Amino acid sequence: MAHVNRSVLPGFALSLGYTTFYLGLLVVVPIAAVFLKASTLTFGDFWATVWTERARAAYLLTFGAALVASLAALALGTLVAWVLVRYEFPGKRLVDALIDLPLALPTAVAGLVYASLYVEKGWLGRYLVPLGIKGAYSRLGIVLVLVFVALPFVVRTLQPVLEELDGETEEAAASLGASRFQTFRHVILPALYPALLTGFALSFARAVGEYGSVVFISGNMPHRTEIAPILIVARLEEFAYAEATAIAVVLLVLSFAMLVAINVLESWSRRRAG
Amino acid sequence: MTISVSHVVKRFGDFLALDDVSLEVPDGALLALLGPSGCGKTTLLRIIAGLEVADAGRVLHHAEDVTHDAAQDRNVGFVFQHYALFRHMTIADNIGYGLRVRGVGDRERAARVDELLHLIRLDGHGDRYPSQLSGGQRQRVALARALAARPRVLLLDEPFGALDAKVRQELRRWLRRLHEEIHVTSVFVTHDQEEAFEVADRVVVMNRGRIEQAGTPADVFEQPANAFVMDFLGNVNRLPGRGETVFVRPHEMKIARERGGDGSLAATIVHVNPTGPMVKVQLRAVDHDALIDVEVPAESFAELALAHGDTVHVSPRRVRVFADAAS
Amino acid sequence: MPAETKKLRVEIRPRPAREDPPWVRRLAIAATLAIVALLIVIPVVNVFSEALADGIGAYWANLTRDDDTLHAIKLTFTVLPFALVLNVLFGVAAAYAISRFEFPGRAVLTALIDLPFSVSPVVTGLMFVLIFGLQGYLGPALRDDGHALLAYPVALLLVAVLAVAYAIVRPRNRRARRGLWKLHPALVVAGGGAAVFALAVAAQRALGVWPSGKSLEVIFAVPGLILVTSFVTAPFVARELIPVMDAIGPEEELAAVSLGASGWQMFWHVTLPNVKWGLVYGVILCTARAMGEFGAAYVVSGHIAGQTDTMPLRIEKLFQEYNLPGSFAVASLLTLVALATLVVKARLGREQARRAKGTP
Repeated sequence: MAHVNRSVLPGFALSLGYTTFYLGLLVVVPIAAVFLKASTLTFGDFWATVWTERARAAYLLTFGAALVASLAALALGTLVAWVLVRYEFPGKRLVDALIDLPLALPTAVAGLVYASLYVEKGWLGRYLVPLGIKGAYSRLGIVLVLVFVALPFVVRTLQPVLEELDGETEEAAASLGASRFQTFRHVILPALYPALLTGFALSFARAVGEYGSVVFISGNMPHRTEIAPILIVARLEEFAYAEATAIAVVLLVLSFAMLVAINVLESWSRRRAG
Repeated sequence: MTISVSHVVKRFGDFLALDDVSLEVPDGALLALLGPSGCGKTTLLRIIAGLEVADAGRVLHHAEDVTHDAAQDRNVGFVFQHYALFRHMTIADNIGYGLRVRGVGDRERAARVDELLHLIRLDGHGDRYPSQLSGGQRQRVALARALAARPRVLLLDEPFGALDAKVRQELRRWLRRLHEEIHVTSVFVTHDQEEAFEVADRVVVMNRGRIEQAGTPADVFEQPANAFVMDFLGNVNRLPGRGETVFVRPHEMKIARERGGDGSLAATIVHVNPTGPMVKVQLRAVDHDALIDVEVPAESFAELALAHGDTVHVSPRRVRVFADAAS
Repeated sequence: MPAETKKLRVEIRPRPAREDPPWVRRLAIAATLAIVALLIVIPVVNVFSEALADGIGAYWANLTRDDDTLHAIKLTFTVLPFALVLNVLFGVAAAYAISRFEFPGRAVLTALIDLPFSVSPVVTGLMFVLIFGLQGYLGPALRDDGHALLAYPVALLLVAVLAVAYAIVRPRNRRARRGLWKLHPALVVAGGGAAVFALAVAAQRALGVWPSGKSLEVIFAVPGLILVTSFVTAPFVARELIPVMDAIGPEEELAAVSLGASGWQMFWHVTLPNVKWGLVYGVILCTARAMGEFGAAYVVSGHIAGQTDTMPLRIEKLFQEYNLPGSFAVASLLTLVALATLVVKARLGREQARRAKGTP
């Protein structure tokens, strides 16, 4: 039994008291402040702020780029996780360690270096720009940097699931005459669905909230490459706090909805796994 | 020191783990709490130690009410099922921990640790870590750790459960001898009736959160209080008697070629296991299709020249009848 | 020994039915290497190559001759320890409460810990501006008489310290308590806390510890940076420790308690040593994230060069000023921190695998 009666082990009141106090002051109160501030706007004003053409373009870009980037990260991450779990090759441990870099590298650094790689004179831009592929100051750039940010979430979600995959079911499929491709489609992939969903949800949530790297690479052109958080900063710089808060509420509500979705997905996948 | 538990109740959610349990452990006893898994025996042991809190009822150590005392104040030695050795401490530090938290000086502590290492026959292993020991060695370290601060009570939760058969056998005898030497009031939990009988001088049989019977091993085995105890303490045949079910142990039946007196049943031998001093014979009753187990000494088996498929007559030498037999 | 390793290798080779055709294998490995090279390796190499583009001397000058850059580095390392200490205390307490006890609201608390992960950094900054900014809820009070307000957090800190002391020394045995303390201990503790708080505030007022009528800057200043950095990094230590404590289980702690250890002894002798590697890793992740925080810091700092710019903000400013070598020089320092994080993680992973083999 994992949990102990609270009067048997010491420190229940102290640890729980400090935890709730800290979270209350640092997390709950500030979030409540946002909703409180937003409530000073009438619904008409609120709507007029959060539903301008510029704001709509920003939401669309924020969520659209996050969606495209997480789907790309899902595809690439699945391949990387498969290779890291199933194959042996020289340098595997180094590659495995490097996968975590996006988690540790400050996003400002990522944005800076991606922007400089894909400009016309950059290491990659000098080959891509003549082909008409503009990686810097474009929507493509936003997606690229978001894929970088999201990749570890997919790989690290899938790896343990792949490692624990029951090899005998694959052998059973093979003994029943399935080709390797059929085995993958009918036996392995269905077992991965819950983890794929979780990995996708995690990277999507991360990509939606990303700010630091995007400001470097996007160029921040209204209607074209401006994401929603930049809109908030713009309002703040005009000292339009209520308007900035309104947009923040939209983002907060959407992120909370995603958090709930991630939790539901995780408990669902755990139930299915037994 | 005596331990007494009176009217203890414990629930985990909807599950009633202990249902008004009362128990006396006499001073110096080595008592076994015996029962199937989920019967509440471990919960009772943890309540005595203060590692679990009862919903109702009282626990007394000697005459002192310790119901609301924290585990640290009860001065009990507790041996955990999976040892719970401190993985980052050496064996010597593990054993000496109870003395360290009581502020016993280094030299005195080292002397006591050496003494205990000798007692558990692990002299010279003091600077190893728990992960470097075998299961049986870890078990002995856990015991030494519990004994170091000279507890008033020693409590052991399934002490040999995680060990293989041979080591278990060895440790049982060793625990028995140890208890004779130090004579501290001890309670251990087990689901293995053989273990309870071999080690303990008193046995308490539990089922579904209640105590079914308490007594010496001989009492409990010879005079089971009810059908559950009879059934739990060994293989048993349930035979139809005059309007009630009759309980007979396999070794308390005899086999004959000729029909005996009253209560004799015709049966066909379906399986014979001739290993060991007692030959285990399985028969099917001719009249009512029930399987009957009988154990006969090897020499009578040979005399009778029994073989698979023979039809013979079995009769009980001793029968028991219980009021709760319907369950 | 060599014979043994050889045998082991044979055993872990995938069985034939699980093996993919060689061309699939080669293609997949090549693709993986390409992905990792393109997304991760080339950018990292590029950071250092751009930083050193004008030679090592210029690189060194970019880091040490620019006062604003130096100040940014100093500021980052000023904010970091506060966030670390706060979040280590919080992480250990939260992990212990959640992994050892069952209580109403446990699931909500667990979700709350993760919440900062899903709040966009810019929104985080905004939240604190709304409270502490000039037009924020506490803004007028902070501007008019900010320093006098410090009496309240100081009193709160005193109550917290006394609460810890009480938790350590109070008699666990109920019979040792008297009167109201025995019947309603929670009431006595709450009442005592409130009384100490009121007394402490009154004492500070009477002694004139804090100057009155002096404004206190939180936003566009260091306290704001500490607040947002602590918010953003709050989940890291707790999230590392919860699974570790769950996996270890409470039995060793119960063993310590049954051997007579006090709560404090149990914590230092058993709880903490058992989770030390998880704690180290949590601290490292927390460090990397705290040093790299951009969005929230951008909003609360006001982005004033030489005053409230942290390293990531300095990178952006230099980038906007087209001072790419300077920008990359600062970026290279943060990249080194990130690489060190990966090295330590790989080490810890191996350490844990080694320990897992030895323990039951």
